[in-house]
Amino acid sequence: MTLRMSLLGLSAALMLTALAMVFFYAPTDIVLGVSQRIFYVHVPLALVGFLAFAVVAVCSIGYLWKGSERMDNVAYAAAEIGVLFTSLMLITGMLWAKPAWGVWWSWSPQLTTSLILWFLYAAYLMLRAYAPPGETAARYAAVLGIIGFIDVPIVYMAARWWRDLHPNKVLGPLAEESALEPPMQLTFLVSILAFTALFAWLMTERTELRRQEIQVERMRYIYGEA
Amino acid sequence: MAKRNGLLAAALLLLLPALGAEGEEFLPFLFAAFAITWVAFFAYAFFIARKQADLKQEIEVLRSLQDKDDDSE
Repeated sequence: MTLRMSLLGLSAALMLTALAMVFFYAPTDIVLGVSQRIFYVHVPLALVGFLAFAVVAVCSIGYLWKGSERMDNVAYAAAEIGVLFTSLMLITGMLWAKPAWGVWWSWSPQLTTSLILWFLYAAYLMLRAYAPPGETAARYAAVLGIIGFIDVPIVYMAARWWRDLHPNKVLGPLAEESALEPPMQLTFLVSILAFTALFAWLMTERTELRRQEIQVERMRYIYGEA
Repeated sequence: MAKRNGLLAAALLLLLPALGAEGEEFLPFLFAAFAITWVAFFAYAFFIARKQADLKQEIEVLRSLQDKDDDSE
């Protein structure tokens, strides 16, 4: 079995487990009711989105340093998947905000910085799409990929630095021990693993697609758009 | 349209027993969050698979052109 198939199987199994736990195992929140279950998709989407942008930044540094095309391909794939995850994070966030806060959107620091993050990496993708292919575009994109990542810790810290509507952190250095009940913690952990496995599978597929795109571009160049 | 509404109703009915009674009025938000996420992931995976198949075919065509060129030389 190839790595790609193994990752697909793993992510499917973890996703089914996570879904079962979200709806049949995790208790319903007393204050927020059923809408709190959006948490198990919204927060993992955000965290895996951050992971994707970390991959973009690391691979962009690698590309600028070594000039490796493979690094650039991985950065490109991670940026695209990161934008997908972040878009879904923003959408699910709005769907949770309406029942929880009574509004679809609030210009609170964490939401605003999250939207800025989305714009930064959407700009990265637009740069790759519209700049003429070649090293120059890849270098500009790499610089944008690194600069964009500066916003990730700002998003995470926003709720502490400024007043924000978001609840206490459940993961990372700002996490509070009592933020979640044990069954909720376990469900949350499985959801994170499931979305991380899905991200890994999508990365292998998108990187392979990118490699094929470049191969076709080169062959077309040789055969003059045959 | 009727089929889609039927599917929506079936999904909501399936979810109800697992959820209990608290905040039932927010069930459509929960359903929408999961549905949008899964539709987006399936659509993206479909887009990648389709494009990979197209490019693989194009690579085969270009390779056969290359082979013809090599043979004629």
